[in-house]
Amino acid sequence: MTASLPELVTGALVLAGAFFFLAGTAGLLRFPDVYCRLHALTKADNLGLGLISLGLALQAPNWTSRVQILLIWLLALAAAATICHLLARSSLREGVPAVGVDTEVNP
Amino acid sequence: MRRISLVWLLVFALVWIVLAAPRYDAWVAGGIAVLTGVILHTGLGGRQGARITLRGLMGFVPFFLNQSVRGGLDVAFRALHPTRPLDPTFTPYRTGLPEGPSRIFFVNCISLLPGTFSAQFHDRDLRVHLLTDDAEGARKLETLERKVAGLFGVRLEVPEGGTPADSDSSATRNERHG
Repeated sequence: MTASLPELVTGALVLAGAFFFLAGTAGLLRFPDVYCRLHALTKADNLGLGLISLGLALQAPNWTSRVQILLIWLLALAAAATICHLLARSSLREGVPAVGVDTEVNP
Repeated sequence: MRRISLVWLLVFALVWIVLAAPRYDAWVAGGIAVLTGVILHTGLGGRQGARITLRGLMGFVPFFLNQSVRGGLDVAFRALHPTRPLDPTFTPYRTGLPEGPSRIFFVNCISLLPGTFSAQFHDRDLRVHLLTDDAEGARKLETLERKVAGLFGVRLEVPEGGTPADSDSSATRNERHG
């Protein structure tokens, strides 16, 4: 069984994407506070999803599917940035302590 | 009362059509989602126009993709590194972007840049969380701010680097421009 070049590229991109999801999860478990964990989730997962999307777009049957995949990635980015901001803001309001920062009164 | 924008109704409907492609029976969920989207968009004051130029887009997209890759690599490295190298802090930042879509876009993009996310913002003043406390943080934000200004074709109203820390000088600059 042989794989064509696009299939190999797709495989590599999807694997790379999976690696970033794994790294993001490692950050979620290992980082010391909620604020640092948000970095791990937003950045690593966005890149992971981006790579997986790119890999799948190469295999997509038509341009409608490619636009669909791009749109899903963009919507996920927008959702991640918004949710990250909301979680951080409510954590600050609740006074959740941050590592390396004097707990100060929020503006 | 604000009026529902027909243009945005079409935009949201188009998004749904692309997402749900051939499943026209999905319009029950889609209709609810599209209507909710338009109502929220109108209610939250999303009717201010935004002009994104093709030239601005061509300047922004490569920058954004490059930064996304760096951001992912950076955080993956820190997460998997045995010593977990972090030096987190919060920093204030005052944006010169005018109120409206460009400022909201900027605040969201901060969270996708390497090592930064926006934790709070009120008017012009942002509170940004940095994964590593270094001098680069503010400079990266200024670069992003310039790129966003270019994307939306707006002018920065405060000279770059103005932070609440030097609010006196920022205030005078604001007056001169405003």
